[in-house]
Amino acid sequence: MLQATDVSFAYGRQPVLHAVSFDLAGGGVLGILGPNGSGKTTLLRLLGGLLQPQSGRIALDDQDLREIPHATLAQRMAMVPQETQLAFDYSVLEIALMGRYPHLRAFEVEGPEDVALARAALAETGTAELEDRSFMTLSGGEKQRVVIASALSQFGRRAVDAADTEDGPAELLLLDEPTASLDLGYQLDVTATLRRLNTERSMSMVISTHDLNFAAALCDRVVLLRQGRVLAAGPIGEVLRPDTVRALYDVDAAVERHETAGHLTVVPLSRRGDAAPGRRTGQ
Amino acid sequence: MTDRPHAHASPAGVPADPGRTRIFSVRRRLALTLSGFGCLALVSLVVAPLIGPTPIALGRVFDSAIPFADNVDAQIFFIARLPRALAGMLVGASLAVAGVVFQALLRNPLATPFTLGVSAGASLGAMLVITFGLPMAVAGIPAVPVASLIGSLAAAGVVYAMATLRRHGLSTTVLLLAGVTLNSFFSAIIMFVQYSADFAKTFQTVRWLMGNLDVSSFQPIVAALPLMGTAFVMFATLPRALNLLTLGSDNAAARGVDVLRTQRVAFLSASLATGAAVSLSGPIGFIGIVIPHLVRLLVGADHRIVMPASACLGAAFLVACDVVARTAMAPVELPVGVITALTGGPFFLWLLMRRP
Repeated sequence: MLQATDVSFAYGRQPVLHAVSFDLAGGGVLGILGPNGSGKTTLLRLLGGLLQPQSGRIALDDQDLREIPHATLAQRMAMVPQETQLAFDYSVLEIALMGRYPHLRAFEVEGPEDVALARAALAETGTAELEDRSFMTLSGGEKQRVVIASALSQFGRRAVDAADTEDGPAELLLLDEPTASLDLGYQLDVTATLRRLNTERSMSMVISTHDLNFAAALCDRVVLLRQGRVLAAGPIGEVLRPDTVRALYDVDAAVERHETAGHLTVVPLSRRGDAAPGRRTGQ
Repeated sequence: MTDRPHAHASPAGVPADPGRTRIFSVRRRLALTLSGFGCLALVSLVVAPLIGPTPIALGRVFDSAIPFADNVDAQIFFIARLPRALAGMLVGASLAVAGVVFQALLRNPLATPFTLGVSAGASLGAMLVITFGLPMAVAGIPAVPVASLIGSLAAAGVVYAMATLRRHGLSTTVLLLAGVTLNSFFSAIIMFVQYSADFAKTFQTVRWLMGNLDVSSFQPIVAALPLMGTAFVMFATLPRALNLLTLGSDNAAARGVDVLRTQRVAFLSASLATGAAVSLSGPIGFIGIVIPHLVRLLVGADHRIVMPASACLGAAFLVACDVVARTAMAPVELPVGVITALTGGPFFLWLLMRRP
């Protein structure tokens, strides 16, 4: 469904990504893993069409992203940035309704159906009861789930539009570090929400994260990114190993399957080699 | 990897369920707010010309039994005082909406229509004409407003060019910093020229800089109207995209907003409205920052409601302030910019403090 082929990108003269390639099949969850500064966010913005690659190609269902109009793309693909800071305060329902933007014509106002779709999206992320709250008063975990709901309501189709296409358009959710600033409880909430969307709606996802355990809980395939290059890619059970973790983070770690959790877990043991203290103080 | 069937659990065609929760309708909220704030603006437009040194009666003004040539009340109302109220309305509406748009564009609640150097450019233009004794009118067109309009648009052009020069898109950070710098730079030139100019001209410039609505005919209004009209037509295309921009440009772009185009239209329209307003009345402060915030406190942040409501409230507020400016110390006329800040400031602070 989503294909990146030899994607390279540089901010000005500073190269960020070198010939990154991967493939995401429909219904799959792809994790982009790597340390801070490895180019995860840039890659995600490229996938979302917010940046254009200097070379290489990104295709959604075999169609080059550059050829898909803004609004059409936004009906098939939604993005949740790492953090959403509002300049002015809106209610939770208003934020969710903003996802309806690509479905409305110029000067069109959201109808009852759009409101119902936005409310359904809030319900899917467990935030329905917050709809009248002001966004700025929410906790970090609530904010994140409301922004996910706003992204979800981009996919909702009104009866009129649904009649046009028999099968729904591809649904692809891009998430940038969705749990980075959340405490354990909220991390589990967001993880559960995303997993349910994947299993119940077979929604495809690309998730960038530096949290290996979060990735292990959710992703079926991963791309390991270090300094803008793909270190390894493939099914998470094959790629996530002590040696790849070492190569990625310079950290010795135990990678084991956790029976209760039902997925791989990574326990960091020690910073590796002489480089460790120098790297720390050098930051 | 499992290729699951594409099951659509998305609630396509969910029926509206008004019984469950309250009805959310932008259209209804817009109608409610607009009728309220619109009435306020209209009332101010009709009441303001009734107040003044010569008392006139509304009944006589609109008494069709008396021919206009003999109806002194109607003449005072329509010829002497209405242009001024109308100018106040247009300037108030333009500055208030420009403030909303600049705040959304820069994602900064402290932005005003004058933040990006537009008013400093206008002031510089006006001051140059006043100080260097250029003809006060060229071919019947008064030179000061024209010079101030040219100055404001030149300032906007410089700031815009700088914000787009080094990047692919438009950098709002550069926009903000370049605008603030240009403001100081122009202010320095203004001070320098004033320091060397003679007293009478300095006084004249200072009076212009305070802003006033001393409009005594429809001619300057007719001249400013096309510019303001253009700006307002552009404003009308913005509200929904500005809502999305509030969430940040990445969020906006990911939801299908053409961010660069929105930013361009926003900058151009707000600059145009500000330039036209300042050329009509001089820089009248405070409206562009207090009215948008006042409206947001009252009706929320949805730009589809905030923008028209700000236009109406800005219009009503400036017309009301001008009545105070004309009458408070009559026959001496106070600069209306003094009144906007003196009355609006404490009121706004009070409103801010009583919010939980």
